[in-house]
Amino acid sequence: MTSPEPATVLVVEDDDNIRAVLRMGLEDEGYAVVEAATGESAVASMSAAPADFMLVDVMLGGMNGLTCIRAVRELSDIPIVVISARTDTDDVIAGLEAGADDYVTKPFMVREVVARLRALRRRLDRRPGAAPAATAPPLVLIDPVDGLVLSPEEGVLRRGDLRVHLTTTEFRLLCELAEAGGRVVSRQELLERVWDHGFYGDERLVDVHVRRLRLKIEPEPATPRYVVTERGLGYRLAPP
Amino acid sequence: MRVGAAVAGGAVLVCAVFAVATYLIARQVLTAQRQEAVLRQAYLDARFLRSELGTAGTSPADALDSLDPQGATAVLLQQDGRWYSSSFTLDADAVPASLRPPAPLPSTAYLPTRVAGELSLVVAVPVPAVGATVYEVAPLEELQGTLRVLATLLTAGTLAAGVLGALLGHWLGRRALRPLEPMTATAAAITAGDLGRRFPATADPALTGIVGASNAMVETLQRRIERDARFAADVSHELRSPLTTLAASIELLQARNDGPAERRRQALDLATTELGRFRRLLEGLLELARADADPRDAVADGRVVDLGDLVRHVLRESGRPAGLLDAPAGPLPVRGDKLRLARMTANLLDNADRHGGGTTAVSLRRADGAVALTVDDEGPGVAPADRERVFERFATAGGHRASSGGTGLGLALVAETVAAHHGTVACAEAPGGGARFVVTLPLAAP
Repeated sequence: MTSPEPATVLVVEDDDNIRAVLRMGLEDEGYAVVEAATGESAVASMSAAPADFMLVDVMLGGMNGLTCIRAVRELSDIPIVVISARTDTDDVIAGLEAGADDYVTKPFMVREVVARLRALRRRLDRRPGAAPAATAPPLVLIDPVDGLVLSPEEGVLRRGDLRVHLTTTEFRLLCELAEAGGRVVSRQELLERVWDHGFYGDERLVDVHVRRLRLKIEPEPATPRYVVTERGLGYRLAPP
Repeated sequence: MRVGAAVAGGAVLVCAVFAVATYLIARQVLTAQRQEAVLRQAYLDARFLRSELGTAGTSPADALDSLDPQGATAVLLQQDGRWYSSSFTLDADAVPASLRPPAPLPSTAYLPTRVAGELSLVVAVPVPAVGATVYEVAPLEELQGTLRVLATLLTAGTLAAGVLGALLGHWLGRRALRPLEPMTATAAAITAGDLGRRFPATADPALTGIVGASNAMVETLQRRIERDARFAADVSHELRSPLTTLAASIELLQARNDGPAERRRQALDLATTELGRFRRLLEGLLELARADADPRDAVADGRVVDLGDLVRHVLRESGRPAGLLDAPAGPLPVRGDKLRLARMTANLLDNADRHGGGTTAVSLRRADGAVALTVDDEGPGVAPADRERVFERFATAGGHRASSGGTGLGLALVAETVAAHHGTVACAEAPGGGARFVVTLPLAAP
């Protein structure tokens, strides 16, 4: 860790032992850990002292993981990683739809969790103050009529004078599409650049985030004008 | 198809029997009629010739000429060894040898025979008054023709009945099977995995029974399959949690290999604890799987055990004070599997310790030919709505999973063991507000 203040991870998990092992592993990697056994206490903890990341089990008792993710998203756009016991069900997608950025499945290795957090951290570091990517133009005009302007340097998207609220992952996704300058970017490329996932990354991550991004920026999300799907190829930011 | 063939075969058989009978009777009747007619004619002719030859003294040839025989019938006359014929084509050779002289015929005789290639009836009428014999040769060809037509008609009728029967049978079969077609489609859909499908209701009274029974069967199977699938999903989920901790803590142990001993021990402790949970979980699953696969009657297979001794033993072995038990004097014999009963008791005590803040009281009471084992704890108790559900596998009492090292199977195993011993188990509220579990087992006959 380069920053003097260790980044804080809020671990929301109702299994005592998994929580304990995550605390040990994350502390070994230099993170500070705040534990919560229930969704309610996680939300309370976030309101009291915002963490930098949240790790949350979707199968929580009481307030379930999805509700917890939505409640935390209301408060903050910190990276949220879902812990799921299953990969093939709707659990993961539901977690992502609720606002999570990435997921790991049980049984996971602490290494894997740390890698996920690092990838999200790297993205944070590329925001204000970080060296600009060579290809990234300072301002991208997405829609002159609507006045939709992306400013990767500042880390904001504006519609007119108003700032459009995006999570870090959504913002990063939009920046990658903008950098391509209207060319098609494949899901695999987006997975690698935005999430730092390798060949076996889950392309559903990209689709869910594109869907969420469209809900926030498109006038009509069902018939997108800006973020266009190129069937079988990937996504493309339509030129103004 | 088979119905069609059966109906066709049946129709052909019935019609063939009927046709053969008709033909035989018709032939019998027609032949008799014809014979009678020919005989009558022969008598008439014989009488005429006797009067002509006797009293009138006409020559035989002239007498025959004036006879004017009807149709194709020919009349032959034999007198004194000489033959006279009314026909140009027939002579004495037409008469079978047995009807010819020298042997004088004692009375009228007749014989069907072939005359010039045609079946004919030859009637011989002796006329002793003039020393002659009159022969009537009547062709039977007409009768044969009639019988042939009849036979043809009957055969054609039988064949037609067969064809009609086949068509009728096919139609009937189709009609009878048509209500089964949606059932076939439904069965195929269910086989293909659509377990929610049900056989369509039918107005056919012959089918309502089987439709109802089949739907009940599918319903039961669906519930069973869903329960099994849920259990399998729960098992994989419950196994993943300890596996996650195990794998991660071993990973930590490896990473901390060169670190301080204290930090290594932390990870090792965690792995050891989790391994214990993992083992208990697997044992519980195996025991449940065994009980599911082979539901044996523990009472019938069991021996008599004193429940008081058993509970005291479990308390002692688990390091709890034996004084915790409040039991009446005298034996408390129950019949069953000693090991399973001991595990059941230990599970109840563990449950009280793990979720109920510790066992506060254990008591045994005799009641109505049964013995009740009560375990109280001082925890938050179990909400009335959850008191049935806590005995389900991986039940999440109050929405919380077994998080303090429990397996989520303890109470399910208790319920399983109690049921195998013909007993009951219930969850209630303890006097102090905690949970109370009461197991009632039948007392064995002393």
